[in-house]
Amino acid sequence: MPEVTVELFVDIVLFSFLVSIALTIARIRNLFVAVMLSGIFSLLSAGLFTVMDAVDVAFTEAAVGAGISTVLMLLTLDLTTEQETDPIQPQIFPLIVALCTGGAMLYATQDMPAFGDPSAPVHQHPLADHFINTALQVEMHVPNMVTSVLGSYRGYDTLGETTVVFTAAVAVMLLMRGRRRFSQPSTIDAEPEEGVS
Amino acid sequence: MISLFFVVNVAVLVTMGIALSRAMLGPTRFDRILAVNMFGTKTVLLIAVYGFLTNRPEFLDLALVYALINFIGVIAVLKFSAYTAMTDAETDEVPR
Amino acid sequence: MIVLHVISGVLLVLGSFFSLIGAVGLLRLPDFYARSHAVGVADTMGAGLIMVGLMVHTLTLIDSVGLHGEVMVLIKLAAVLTFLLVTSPISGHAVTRAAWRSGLMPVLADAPNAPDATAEGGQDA
Repeated sequence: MPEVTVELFVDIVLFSFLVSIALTIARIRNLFVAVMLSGIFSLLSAGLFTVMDAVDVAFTEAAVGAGISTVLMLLTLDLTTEQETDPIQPQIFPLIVALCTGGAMLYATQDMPAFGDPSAPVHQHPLADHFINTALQVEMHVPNMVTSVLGSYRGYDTLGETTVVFTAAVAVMLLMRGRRRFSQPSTIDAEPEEGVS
Repeated sequence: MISLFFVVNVAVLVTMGIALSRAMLGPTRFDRILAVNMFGTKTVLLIAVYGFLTNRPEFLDLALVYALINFIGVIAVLKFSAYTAMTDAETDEVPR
Repeated sequence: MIVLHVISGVLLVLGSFFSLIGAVGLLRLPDFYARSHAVGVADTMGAGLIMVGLMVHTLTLIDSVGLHGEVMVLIKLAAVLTFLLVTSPISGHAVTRAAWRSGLMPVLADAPNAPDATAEGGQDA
């Protein structure tokens, strides 16, 4: 079983799932359903990253997209109503803008080099050679080159990113503290449950 | 052995598709939560089998992370849905 | 060595068979509580069998010279198997309990919205 066809088949099936989920999220009116489906969307895209051999990106997508993002959206849904209000009239202008932007981006991708092409400009840079040749044997002794780039060669980038994520988390927690609940807790939870904090 | 892994892969993909259709159809919200839970478990299996299919068992770390995230996510969703009694439990419509 | 390959193949096929049965149950059963039966039982069984099949397959990869990292793969597979076996029934139970607490009623045989009795009889034939 040639490996290219297996990967192509899995890619096609996963992408078709992704498209159907995206269409359903766009059409559905109930926001809880949309949040659940976006959780599945993140899981699927993490699976696609795994198929493309980018396991570290898939880690991040799984932890952030499928875990934290879903929970944060549900927290937000607690503050507001679950049924999306109906649009007043068909929106033509945003549709045209979206189509033009998408078309421009599709036109721009014609100019990109092929996936994994060794003559692409990003592979010709002398720094790529330096990282590949010295990261394992000479300088870092870490088997994963991506880890050595993220952790040490571009360490300040990673420091900035973690600062941003930390600030966002603190901001969200501060915003969520003074919220007013629109809903009543369900009557079944009125009596104390055992084992629930 | 490789073709057997491919068959298992196809079976897991079909199962994922069916769970997806239940997540889109399911009349109550608990159907959708159940479908998302099953989808997460199947993603774990897909990554593990795909890793063996392409001879890269390093994907198992990712499968372990997914199993944990899936479990925590489902429990978190259920905790939240215990506190909002806004929608009718039978269908996902807000009572007007 | 051939025996291990055969065992692993049988386990993998059985596991995917159980997963497919669970998925068909999720699609076709009429009520939420029935569907949670299908998912909780068949899903866990299928996942467990596939994981055990992968572990047996890893055993066949061990060279006669020595272990080249297959021990790590075995440990990771065992960890995923343990975690799936423990948390999959817990999630199923949690979802069902949350549904019951929020007031969702099961469709019983004598309820007005139960499936038609003649259709049930036709299924058995």
